[in-house]
Amino acid sequence: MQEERNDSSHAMFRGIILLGFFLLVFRLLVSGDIRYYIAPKMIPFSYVALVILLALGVMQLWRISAKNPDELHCNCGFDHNPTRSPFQTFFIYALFVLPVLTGLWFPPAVLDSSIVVNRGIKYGAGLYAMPAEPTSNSMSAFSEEDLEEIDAMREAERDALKAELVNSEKIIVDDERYLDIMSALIASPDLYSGKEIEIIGFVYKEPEFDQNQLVIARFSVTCCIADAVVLGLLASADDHPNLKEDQWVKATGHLSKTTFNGLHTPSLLITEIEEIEQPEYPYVY
Amino acid sequence: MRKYSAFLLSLLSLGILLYFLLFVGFVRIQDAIPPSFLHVNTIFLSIVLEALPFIFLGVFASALIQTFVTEETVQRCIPKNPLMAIVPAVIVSAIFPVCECAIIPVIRRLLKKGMPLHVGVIFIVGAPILNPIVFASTYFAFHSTPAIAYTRMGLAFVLAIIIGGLVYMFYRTRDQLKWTTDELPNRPLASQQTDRKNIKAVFYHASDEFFDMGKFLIVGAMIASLVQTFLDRTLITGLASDDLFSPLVMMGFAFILSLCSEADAFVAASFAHTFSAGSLLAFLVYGPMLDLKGTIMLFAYFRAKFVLGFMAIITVSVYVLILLYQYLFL
Repeated sequence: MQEERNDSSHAMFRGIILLGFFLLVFRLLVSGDIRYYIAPKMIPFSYVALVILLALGVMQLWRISAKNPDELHCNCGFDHNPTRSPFQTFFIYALFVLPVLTGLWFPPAVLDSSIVVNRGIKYGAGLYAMPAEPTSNSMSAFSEEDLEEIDAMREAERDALKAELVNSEKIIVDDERYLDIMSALIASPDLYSGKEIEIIGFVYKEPEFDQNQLVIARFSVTCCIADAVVLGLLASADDHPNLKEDQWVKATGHLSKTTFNGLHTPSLLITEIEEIEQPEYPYVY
Repeated sequence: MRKYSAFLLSLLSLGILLYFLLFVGFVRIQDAIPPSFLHVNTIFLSIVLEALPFIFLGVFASALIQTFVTEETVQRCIPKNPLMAIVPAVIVSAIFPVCECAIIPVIRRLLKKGMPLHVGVIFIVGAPILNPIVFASTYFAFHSTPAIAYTRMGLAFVLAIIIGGLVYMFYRTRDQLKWTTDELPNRPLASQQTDRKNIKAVFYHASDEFFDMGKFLIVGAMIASLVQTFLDRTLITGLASDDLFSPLVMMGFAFILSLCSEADAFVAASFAHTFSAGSLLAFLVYGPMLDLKGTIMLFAYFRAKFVLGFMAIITVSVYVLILLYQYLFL
């Protein structure tokens, strides 16, 4: 009897925790705050998780009242409930309750310059040199045609973007194409030198910067915030020496080139800079 | 009576949670706590939320295998000669589109159904890297040097073979799973139950296994989020110059960051101008095979002695192969 009672209280705790996770994911999805945690392309998976959490949670509560003691075990050959002291049990369930409570309680924090300091900033992608010929022992799940197709697609896209950027009066680095435009700018800074550029980001300053130097930075997220990488455009604003770190700005200026830490990188000579509110979606994906 | 009160209690706690959901509009406690705590919390939650669907994928796949695949089927699919099984296993692991979070419960289940240990190990190290999504993301992250993506796949392929071989050499097919006293032979097997019960069994089993694994995911995510917030990455770049040492640094770094294999290429790319190609490849190959989060899960399922040996085998093979690669090609 003792064991049966234990099993039904396990089922109860588990049901509550699963439904707690369900509520957390539900709240994040409904409020849109989920984008502060994971990238939009991963959100469909969260909907799947939402359905599973609800189903499993309800089934656990249903299991409490199971009449057949066999149903309390899953007969899978593994011992899922090794006998533990009450303290251990409490600790393990507390682990699960923790993310639910902190998620519901605390607001999501937007990564800012304190994180940049630790992560370092990525000023360019084309700075990296290594022999480009693929090695002979390469094997992959792709056929050659697939690769060429992907290659050709990307190549065509890149050329189209390049043509568009070269021909436009003013390049606006918008959120949707932030990565593409930035890598185009970084890949061939000479091509765009002197162009007028408008960009949004937060202010970051390296310790060794001059008064008027700053970086207009953005966090780029691939899957979740844990893999966020800082991208930034070096800029100099002679008339605005007092911009604070983490202040979001919309800057307009002309592109030029500079040398920073021995690397050639594009730099923005700011003509106009405006302090703005943090955008609704601070990350680019 | 007992069950009735348990039911009431759960309803009550859910009510409290619901109250949080609807009425506590992010209380203004955030002013009182340091912002770095909020960063840790946000990164922690993002890892958990990100991994959640894939953990479910893993536990459901495991539950389905448990319920519907018999031991005989598994044994029939695997070549009799253990060494002959290695290369086919690597190829199958390339088709398996699972990441490192989902693979461990599936493999544990297959091992229990009679898959040889070294074949399972090949899946654990091979599947997270050798898949189309990881290839594509590496390819895009290093679009100016596509050789990185090819080499990552090539090295992972070779390493999976080497690691599978070494595990076979050291452990043969001895069972290294934790077995428990609960597995009495007179327990009815799920496969002998009726269909309706099977589906229920899949769900019950999946949620039990979720709790089994989830605690390790949560602890791993916690440690990783602390590292992510407080570790100064410029300290690492200070160690970048030495050819022998820097691959080790990047391997250690990959281990503690515990990133998804789909995303780690972008983080690696951010180190592109400070680290050599060899060290970046060490990061890209070692991370998905072995990381903090995964190690904690391995300890849950396998004997501690085996996990330590397995970690040593992976670490040594990756390091030696990277050095060899640097020597031959760079």
